[in-house]
Amino acid sequence: MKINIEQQGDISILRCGGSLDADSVNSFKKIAYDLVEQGKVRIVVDCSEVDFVDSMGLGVLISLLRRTRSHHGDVKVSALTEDVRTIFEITRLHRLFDICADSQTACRKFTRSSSKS
Amino acid sequence: MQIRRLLAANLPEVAVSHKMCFTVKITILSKTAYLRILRQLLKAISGIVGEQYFTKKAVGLCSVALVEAVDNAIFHAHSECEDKPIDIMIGVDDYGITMSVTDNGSSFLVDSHMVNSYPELVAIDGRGLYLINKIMTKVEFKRVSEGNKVVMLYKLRPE
Repeated sequence: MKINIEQQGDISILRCGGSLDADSVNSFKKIAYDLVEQGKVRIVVDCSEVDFVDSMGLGVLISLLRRTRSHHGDVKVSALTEDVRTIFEITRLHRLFDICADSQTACRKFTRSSSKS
Repeated sequence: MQIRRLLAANLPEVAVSHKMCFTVKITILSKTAYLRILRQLLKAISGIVGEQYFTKKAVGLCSVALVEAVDNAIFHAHSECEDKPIDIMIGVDDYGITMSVTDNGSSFLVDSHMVNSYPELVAIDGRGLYLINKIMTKVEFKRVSEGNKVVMLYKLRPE
């Protein structure tokens, strides 16, 4: 799995490519949890290049969501491919995550929510 | 086809007629590095059968079910003991795609509650069996002499 990190203010964008599955979940977990430990708790996971996700991949996203929310942050998921969106819908996780059309939309939502509060 | 006889009871009419009937057998060790090979194998089978029958969407769904079954073997039946083999069969006939995964591990009991119940939305684990059951047309879990076997059927619906 390829992961690139971009920083836009206090928002971290994880641009992921390949598969988020049992084989890659540990590398994703390390990078994402390191961000939370650094206090970067507003995270966008851009999935435009993710072609496969399994239950362990979903599990690590939920775990990250719980960690960030416990620090008053959040995880937004953007640009789901059709196959990955199908798995989110089967598992109903589209109700748990804020799923955005693209990473810039996700960043704007973060910015809007912080200007309201 | 021998593999589908395992699921033969109460199957409805033949779904497609691509005039292909074959079985692929592969044995892997209990390593997640092999998951990618299994997904590539399903894509290759789609190329042989024809994407109008075994569509890109069906390949994606069957890939998830197969990976979940193998994940179960690696992490639950074999407790990440990498030397233990996992036998996988993928069969194609006029009805659909039949996949079986047989491990060499200790028994894990699968009851209908585990398969059908949806985990709490924020739960980190427990979606594998649910996904298999939601995706596949028919699923059977059984204890065999060497370990556990899951047989999964996906009915092909041509575009």
